[in-house]
Amino acid sequence: MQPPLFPLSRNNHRGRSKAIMNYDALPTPSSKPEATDFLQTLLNKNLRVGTTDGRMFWGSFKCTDSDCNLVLQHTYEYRPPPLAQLQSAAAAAAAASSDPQSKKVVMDMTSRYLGLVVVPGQYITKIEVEEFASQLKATERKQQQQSQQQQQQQQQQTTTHKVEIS
Amino acid sequence: MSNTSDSEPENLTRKLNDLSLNPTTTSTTTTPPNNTPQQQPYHHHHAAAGGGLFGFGDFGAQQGQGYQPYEEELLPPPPPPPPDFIMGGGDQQGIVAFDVTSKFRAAAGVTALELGELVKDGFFSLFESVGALEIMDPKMDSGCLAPGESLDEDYDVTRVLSPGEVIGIIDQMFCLEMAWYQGYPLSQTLLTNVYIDRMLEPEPMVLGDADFIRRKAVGEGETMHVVLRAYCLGVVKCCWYINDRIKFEHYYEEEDFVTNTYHRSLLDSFELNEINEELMAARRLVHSVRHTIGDQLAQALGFRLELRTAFLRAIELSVLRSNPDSLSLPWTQMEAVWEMIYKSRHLGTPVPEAFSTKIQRRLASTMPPRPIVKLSTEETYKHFKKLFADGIDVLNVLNYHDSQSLLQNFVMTFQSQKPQPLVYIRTLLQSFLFKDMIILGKLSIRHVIDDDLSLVVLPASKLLDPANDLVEAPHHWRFALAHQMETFRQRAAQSYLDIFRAFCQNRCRIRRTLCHSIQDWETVQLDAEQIDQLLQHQIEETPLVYPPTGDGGGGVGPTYSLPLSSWAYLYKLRLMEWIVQLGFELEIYAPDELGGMYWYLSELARSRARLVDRISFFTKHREAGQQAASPSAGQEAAFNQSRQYLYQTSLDAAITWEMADALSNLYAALGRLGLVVAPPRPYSTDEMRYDVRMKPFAAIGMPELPSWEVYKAATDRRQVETGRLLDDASLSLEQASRGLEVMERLSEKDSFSVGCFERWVGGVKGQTVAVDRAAVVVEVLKRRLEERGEDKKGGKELGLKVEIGKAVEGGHEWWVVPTIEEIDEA
Repeated sequence: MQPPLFPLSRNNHRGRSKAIMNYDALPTPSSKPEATDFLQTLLNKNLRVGTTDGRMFWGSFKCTDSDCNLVLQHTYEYRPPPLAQLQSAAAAAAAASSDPQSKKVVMDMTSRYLGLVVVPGQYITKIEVEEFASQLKATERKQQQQSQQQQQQQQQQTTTHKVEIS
Repeated sequence: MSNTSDSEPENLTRKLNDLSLNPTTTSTTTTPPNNTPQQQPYHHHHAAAGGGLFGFGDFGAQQGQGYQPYEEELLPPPPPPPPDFIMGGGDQQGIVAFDVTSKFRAAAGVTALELGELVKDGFFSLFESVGALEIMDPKMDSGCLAPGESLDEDYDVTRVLSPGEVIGIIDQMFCLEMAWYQGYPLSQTLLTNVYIDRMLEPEPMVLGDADFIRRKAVGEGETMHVVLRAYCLGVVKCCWYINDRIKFEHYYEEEDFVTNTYHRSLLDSFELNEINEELMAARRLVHSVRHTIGDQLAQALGFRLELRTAFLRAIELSVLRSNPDSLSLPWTQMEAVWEMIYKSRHLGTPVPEAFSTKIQRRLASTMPPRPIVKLSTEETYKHFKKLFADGIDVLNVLNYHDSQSLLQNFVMTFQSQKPQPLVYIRTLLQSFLFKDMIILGKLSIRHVIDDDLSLVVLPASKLLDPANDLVEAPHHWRFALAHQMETFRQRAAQSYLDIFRAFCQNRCRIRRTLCHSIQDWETVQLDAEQIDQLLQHQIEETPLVYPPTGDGGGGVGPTYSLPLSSWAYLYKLRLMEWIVQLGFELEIYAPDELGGMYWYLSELARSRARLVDRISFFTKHREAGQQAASPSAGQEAAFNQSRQYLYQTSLDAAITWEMADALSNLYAALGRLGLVVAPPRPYSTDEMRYDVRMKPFAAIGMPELPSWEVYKAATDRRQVETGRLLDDASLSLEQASRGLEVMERLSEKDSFSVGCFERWVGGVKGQTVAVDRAAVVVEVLKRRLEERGEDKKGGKELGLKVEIGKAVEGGHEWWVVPTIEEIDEA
């Protein structure tokens, strides 16, 4: 097939009836048509793919296979600051702050543009899909926020000074 | 254009704010994520290809002339930076992320897809994915770290430096800078310096921030840090200017120079005088501490800073293109200071830790780290010395004397230096020649072309009379002349300037470009002939019989002088000769082909001589006609100059054909004697190879390419005995040598090499050396043949060893003379 003159915008969901959805509410696909359908809905959406070395790749999902190898287009690489820097920044923040409860640390996360990449399935630790909050139903949005807050509270309990990136 | 660079993804720093969805941490430079990012940059690419010469954001920054783009520029331009987000949630910009890991895995692997089955976007072809980078593959993924390896540099830029260490770092930077000038990318050279890296990243917005130690109070800072910072500022600014200059002219990316800056802005937003002030302040500071650090060290540091100031000054002045004497001042200063720097290099203490390939991982490049390019100090010294000398030399081009001195001699001899001047100097030459379509900053293109026409074919001709332009009556013959000449100039100007432009490229590209140019000149010649016919009617020229009947040329009817097409034909012939000669220089021909190519060169040179003869005949006739009407002093001077030029070029043609004949005969003899053996070529025939070899010339109608049979017969000269071949060769060499003697006696003006006389004489001397060497080879061969008989074959029977293609000191690149060695068979 001829590629289009201008690539479709990365958030263009034209012609996809089931484009906007709450993925948390979806059942885990159990049959082949269901699974293919699920993957099809993800095509051309922006994925955030975490890898075993702590990096994260953000790009438009183009292709996958049975080994879960992912092809992402217009990809950016994100890398957390090294642990040593994190710790020292956290320590500095803790020392500077009079409020012992405050554990906010702001750090720079470096990024660069990579373009078209293949992320081999064996290195993938996490896959997230992006949606516009405005296009979710209000109830779903609320649910989403709640579940996130719960997650964060859990993290707060388990991690003390650490900046959570992935 | 400029707004794209703002939204380029360089310097993307993501603020991470743990446990907080606070939108205040959002970077203000990010663009909303929901626009259609790809379309805009695509248009930019088209705009650039359409002939724009503007530099825009680094990523799309290739020169606009349609040469090979850099590999990474083939990628679609990156979209604007992604929204600010925090992994695992965060909808501060209206984006929600859902974790689908387990569902995805389940869908892809366990339950659904079979081996080899794909789910893919319809517009995405697997062919495209061949170019994808494989993450975690150490050969492809530049961000892939070995276990335990840290991405970041451990080097502490805030540590206190001794003066010796600063000298060491600066000297190391000289080596890297030179490597960059020679064509290595910045990523493997200057950008491996930790200090420069910290200075440029994140991008400084005010000059105070352009420092490897950020956020320090004004006036604070350790002395050596201030010195090193000032030096780094100077280097980076130099790089920016040089990069910019090179991008603006014709050059070959990767082949000549890598202009990619990997999204680092090389202090482009800062004014030169700001940086100069920093350098001056550092020099004052060094001066004030000379008692504490010692005079020697203070001087050594001062020289290095001075060199930078002078370099920036030289760059700043080069846009003026006015008075070469004043432009050369900073270059001369650099030449002098460079010697002092080289002498004080022992004072430096190397700091290898201050340079790291790891920085490449943070550059906008998809390449895995490559090693730092290390030139030795001696090499760096030599190259800089040559750079400064060439920088002074190239300014001489601004002293325009006549069109032939400019092209054939200045540009050609300047470019034929070995080693060729660096690409920066070559782009300077281009900018002197062509910038804003004003030749050398003061002449119009018309001026140069008219000079050349006058010199070659139309001295003191009414065709070139500026008074023609003043006539407004459309039926007046002068009006018609002005109109026709203007048509011709418009037709020929581009082709004419292209020759200059071609000669500013690297040697291989010169030849390649000329191969295309000759076809262009073929059409120029045809168009010129039409204009000639219109003009001869306007000026009522009387046709003459040429060649004059006495010389055995009877039978041909009277012909016209056809000045414009003669001019074009002369250029075409010279281009063809240059192509063949550059072939020898570039070692394109196999040893067994040399004889044939020299024969062809000799044919071309003879055609040139015949053409010059014809031009001279008509010029003489016209001169005689004007003499009767008592010409002005200016007219007479024009005739004299033209006569001198025609004499010089026919002498040159004669030398060329004699030398070419001699070498052709010599190689034919060597072939027969089995001293030059063709390698086995099982998959081709000589005829097929001839067709391919001569392909650039095959499309040329005049002179027509000799057929294979003619070429074969002329190259082998089967009917002639080997002894005769050698006799012919020595005869030709004698003639050539006599011609060269005359040539060598020509003055700067008469040889049309004003401004480059030394180099021109060097070329003539080189040819003389080549002739002498060839004569020795011929003599040795003759003697051996007499001693051992003509039936002997091969080096063993003749007791000779012949080597071809070994570069010999002092000769000439265009004349490949074999070396011969007598061996005893014992």
